[in-house]
Amino acid sequence: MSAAQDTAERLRREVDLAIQRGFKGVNYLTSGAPEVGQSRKDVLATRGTMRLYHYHPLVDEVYRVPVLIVMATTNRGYILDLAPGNSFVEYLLKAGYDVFMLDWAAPVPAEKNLRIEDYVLDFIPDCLRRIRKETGENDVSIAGYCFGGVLSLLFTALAGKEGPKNLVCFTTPIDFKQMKLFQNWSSQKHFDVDRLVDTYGNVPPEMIHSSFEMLRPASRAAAQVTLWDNIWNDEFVRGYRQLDRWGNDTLPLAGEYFRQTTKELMWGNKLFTGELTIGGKRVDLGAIKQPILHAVAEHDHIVPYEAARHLIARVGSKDKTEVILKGGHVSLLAGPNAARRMWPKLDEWLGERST
Amino acid sequence: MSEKAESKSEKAGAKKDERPKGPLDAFRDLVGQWERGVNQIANEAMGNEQFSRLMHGATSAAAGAKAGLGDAMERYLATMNLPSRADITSIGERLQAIEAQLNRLTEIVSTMATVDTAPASLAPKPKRTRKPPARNSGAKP
Repeated sequence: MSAAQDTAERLRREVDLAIQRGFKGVNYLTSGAPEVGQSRKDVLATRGTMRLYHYHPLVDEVYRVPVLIVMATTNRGYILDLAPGNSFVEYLLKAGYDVFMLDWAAPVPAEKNLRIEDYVLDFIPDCLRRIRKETGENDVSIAGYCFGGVLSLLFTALAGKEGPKNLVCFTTPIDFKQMKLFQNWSSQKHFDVDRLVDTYGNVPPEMIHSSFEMLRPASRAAAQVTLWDNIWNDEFVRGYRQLDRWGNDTLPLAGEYFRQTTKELMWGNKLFTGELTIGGKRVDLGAIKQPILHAVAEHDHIVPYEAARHLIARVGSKDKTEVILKGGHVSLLAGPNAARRMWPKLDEWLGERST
Repeated sequence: MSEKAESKSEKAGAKKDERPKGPLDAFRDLVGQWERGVNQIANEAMGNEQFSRLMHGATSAAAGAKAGLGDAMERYLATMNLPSRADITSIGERLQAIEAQLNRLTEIVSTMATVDTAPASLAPKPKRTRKPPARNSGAKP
């Protein structure tokens, strides 16, 4: 093909795509929100902000040890169950796990006094009790994502024999001084967390959403351009809309929980220094003896590796593994790259510890 | 914690069409460069103390305005003998608490009574005897 023919062919293709963009753009603007979280499940418990789901098994024979996914408190759990064929939960179910999820609803104003203690010493143990009753198994694995990982870590460090059989942490920070931008934004010198919490009660979701958006301020605009460019591609648009829905579905945070997180973890960095106390007990990561897997993302701009890297060294487990995978904070665990990298890695690690 | 824009561009981007280079590719590269450049510059700008001071000045002012306006509105509604938003929210919460109590009681009654209307979770359960597959095959579930 000559250069002139080649150029003409490319031009023809761009014109064709431009026409398709026009048609599909109208579809995009007029269609409803995409469905998410479609794996079948029972709601085992709802208690205030707490939701415990039990997903229906997809195989006839499951591993003996069920697994409880603990979601981050800022976002909805359906990021891990976006759509059939693009779902971490579905992958686990097909791989033979009995899957439960501790998800969160928006805390109501009356829950503004919830503290880390409520999450670590009440909600997680309550879920474990219910799972043990439901399955008849005493052993349960816990897999916590982001701040869900922090809560799982705190629970495991304090629970002793009541703790999980295995612990998996995804992108879990312990050295909060290394979260540089968040550190600057929550600087003790300028940030009056008491005034904020005392005024609002619960921290508004818009505030949480904005702080994440501000980490990469140009990315939303660039994503819009990329969407326009690919709007003719149904698969791309479907994935975009699912993530967009999730991204805008940020949860408020219970006021006291936020105040405590800011003062104890962001300002005091007490989990890292070993001074953190929960319910009157000091949190000693060395007390964690369970097999532990910590998965971190190479390009995580929310929990940079520096903030997460000491976790494995600090825990007292003999069986401990850290994996560093390509991807970002979300793409580590959700989406096509996670399906290729993280999910099989987790299955490989957890399967042999779930019998 | 979570992220939005990273995931949208990165994850959705993974499914992008791998088409041959076209006339708009220079524009696409430019957008990518612009995004990286602006993010980097903004991160540097937002990492200094002055930004933190300005940001919290604005947040504090907004909180102060909200508190002041809230107080004034509450006094006004009280004068008019009307319920405030806080009153309505409080009634809603009370109803939710009653609903939660009812749920708990229902749960207890269901546990006590042997009923046939078992939820799906009480349907025949799978055997819990699964063993991990041999790993050298690289097979997917």
